[in-house]
Amino acid sequence: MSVHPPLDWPDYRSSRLRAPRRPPEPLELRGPLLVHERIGPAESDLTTAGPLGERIIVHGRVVDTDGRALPNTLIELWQANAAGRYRHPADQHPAPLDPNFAGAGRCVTDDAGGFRFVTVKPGAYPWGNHDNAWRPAHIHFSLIGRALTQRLVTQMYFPGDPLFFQDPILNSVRDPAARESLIARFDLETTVPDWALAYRFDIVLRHTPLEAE
Amino acid sequence: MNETPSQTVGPFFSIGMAPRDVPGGTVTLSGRVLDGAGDPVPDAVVETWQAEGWGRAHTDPSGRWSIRVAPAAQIDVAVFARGLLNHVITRLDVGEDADIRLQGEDETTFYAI
Repeated sequence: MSVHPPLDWPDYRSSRLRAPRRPPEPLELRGPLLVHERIGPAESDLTTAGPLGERIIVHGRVVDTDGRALPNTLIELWQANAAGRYRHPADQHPAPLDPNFAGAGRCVTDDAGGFRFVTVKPGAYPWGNHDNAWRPAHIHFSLIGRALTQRLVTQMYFPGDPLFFQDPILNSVRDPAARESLIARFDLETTVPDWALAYRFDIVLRHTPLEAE
Repeated sequence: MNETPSQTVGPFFSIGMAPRDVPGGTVTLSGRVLDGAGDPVPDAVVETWQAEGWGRAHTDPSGRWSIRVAPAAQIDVAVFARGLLNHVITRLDVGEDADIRLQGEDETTFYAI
């Protein structure tokens, strides 16, 4: 049973004309396995310009389903600012832009599969999917491993958010344990006293095609 | 351990997922992404996957995209968009203008890998 959401999920209005209706056909990939090129300097601190909001550290490990570390995995992330507004022309939410927050970062995982970003906690925002719909606070993560089987785009949520119950995107993940795995854990140990709170978000990718699952 | 589940890229991916050609790409692969009504999808991401590396484009208001890729007969392609809770995967022939139809009678063949 796949942990992934069904594509056909009418509660999410945007899926109605975009989700394929025919079941996918099986395809055995033989590769390719990518050799990771260098990405230039990591942009893992989103707060260098001094944005408003609650400064947080978001860190974790990327592993495969056997728990093996996945080093050199490219992570790109993007998010709303502390007021719930993206720096994007299509975002019309009447909340302030923050001139000191672009809301995007990237890095590659270290030898242990680890990553660490410094950012601000994003705000919730309304989105018109249904009556009085609000997205819970979340950070978008894009991960590129060594093969197409290790390609994942997901969203990280924050513990205890009261908006979870009405969010069709989080709730499109049907398995409760899988849904829970998208909620970061508050991580007191990684908190930096007098400076930033911390959350831990571990990510599990599939194997490459050349490894047994 | 279980995989981490997918979520949609949403409408604002362009601030985080920068487009790029395949490093050293010499051939142009291009096409459109269309929805179940036959309308262009102006906010999709198309990625090509080859041993030489990956490429990425954002669709324009007419649903068009274009990536410089390494020469090949067929290329594995992943498509992401607002409204897609997981990306979809197809295989495109190089040299033909490829319309990816997400839904409808002439829906593109997508693959589970």
